[in-house]
Amino acid sequence: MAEFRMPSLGSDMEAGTLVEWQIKPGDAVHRGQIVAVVETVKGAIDVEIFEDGVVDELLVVPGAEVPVGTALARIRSAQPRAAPESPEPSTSPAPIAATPAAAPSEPAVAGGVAPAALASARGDRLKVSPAARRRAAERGIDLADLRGSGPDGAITLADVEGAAAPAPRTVAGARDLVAMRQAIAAAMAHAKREIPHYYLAMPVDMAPALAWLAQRNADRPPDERLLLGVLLVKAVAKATARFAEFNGFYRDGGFEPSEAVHVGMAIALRGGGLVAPALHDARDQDLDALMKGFRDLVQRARSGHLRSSELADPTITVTSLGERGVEAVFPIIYPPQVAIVGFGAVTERPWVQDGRLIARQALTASLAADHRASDGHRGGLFLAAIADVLQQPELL
Amino acid sequence: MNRDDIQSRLTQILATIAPEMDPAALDPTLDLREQLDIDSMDLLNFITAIHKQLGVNIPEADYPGSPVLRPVSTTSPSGAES
Repeated sequence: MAEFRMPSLGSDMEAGTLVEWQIKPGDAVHRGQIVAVVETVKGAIDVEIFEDGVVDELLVVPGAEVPVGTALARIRSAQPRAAPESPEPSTSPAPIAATPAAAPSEPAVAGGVAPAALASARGDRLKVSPAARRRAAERGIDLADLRGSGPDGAITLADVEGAAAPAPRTVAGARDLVAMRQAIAAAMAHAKREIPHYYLAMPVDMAPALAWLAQRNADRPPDERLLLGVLLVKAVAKATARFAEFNGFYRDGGFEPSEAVHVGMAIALRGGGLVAPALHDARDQDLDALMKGFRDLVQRARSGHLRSSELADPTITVTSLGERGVEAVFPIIYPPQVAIVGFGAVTERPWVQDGRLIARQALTASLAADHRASDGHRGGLFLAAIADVLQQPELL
Repeated sequence: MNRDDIQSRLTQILATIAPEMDPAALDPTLDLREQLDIDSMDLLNFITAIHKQLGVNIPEADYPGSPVLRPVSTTSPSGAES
């Protein structure tokens, strides 16, 4: 038996509010499946499970705010669908499926065994279908608050579902900006207090990348075009191959390099705040796949439904504040990561090449890195490697 | 589709990208990207929606000076600029 716990979606998260279960007892679940929606200061997050099994019991009802690490559900790891251990017989699928339509004939269903017993045991005068009662228990809804739409005012499954839906205060995308500001403050204060940052910057000739990108996008419809940001992300991901000390986590007094490269994308939100969810396995994806992932990520960052793994996984972060016109960025590391790469705006600037002064499209790339995990010498080489990769965009 | 239809469709598309905007408050002489704090992803989504909904494919090379990047009230159906 395994426990599915409230995940930590970044070092700035202490608790989350369960908004919705997308599973019920008896359901088979598989690794990577979205099983619940949790409200955090970063909006509503789709939470994935990381094992295969069968849902045994849901331990927390929607609406409850619980600390990170709290057991939310029990999962049976065994494959065979064992008979329900719960004494409640309505776990068997048949009555549940039958009930919404069959609510009027509830006595017939209840003619079996336990549902009637359950009702009488509670001394409950309410007429409630077994499925409705069970769902109400799952969701922590008080049946006495409901008005039944069935015959004689019987409460049907539909009544419970209807009551359940509006209960959580979450509308997709709605965020508490004050709470988000506090969470950013806590994470960044922690970073500045604990992480001995060092900062480096260097100019990068962007002419080859821009020329390649213009040609690549010229005859493509808008939805197949690439953004420069995707080239920058891929360049960073590729450069980490020879610079493992910038990709991973500093935890428990030591640096743990990461095999995978999950690039956190700092995404500003309209109205304020930001999130930095991961583009997973950025080194292994081609530019088209990365662009698709990036589009999807930005859309979900702004409208809701980021996934728990996207918030928990970033191994290094990229911030492209140049989008907003700034020349250079001196960013703060997101703990427990150890590096963040910034890109300033592409501008035409004086550039000396072969002893001649020319005008050149360029940007300033910067690195903030954790001195506990790396030194400035290696940081400089890492930045130079990123710049090098960008000189051969066709190989990205 | 007349000029008013096009304006209204462009405004609708823009509202999906910058929901808080007030179309009446836009300054027709300024670039939309600056007025609405639109980044490159927002812009690409705008251009993509115009392509899908209006059938007009604006090449990337035409972004600078494109009339759709001015507030929609100055956009003429022919695409000519004042």
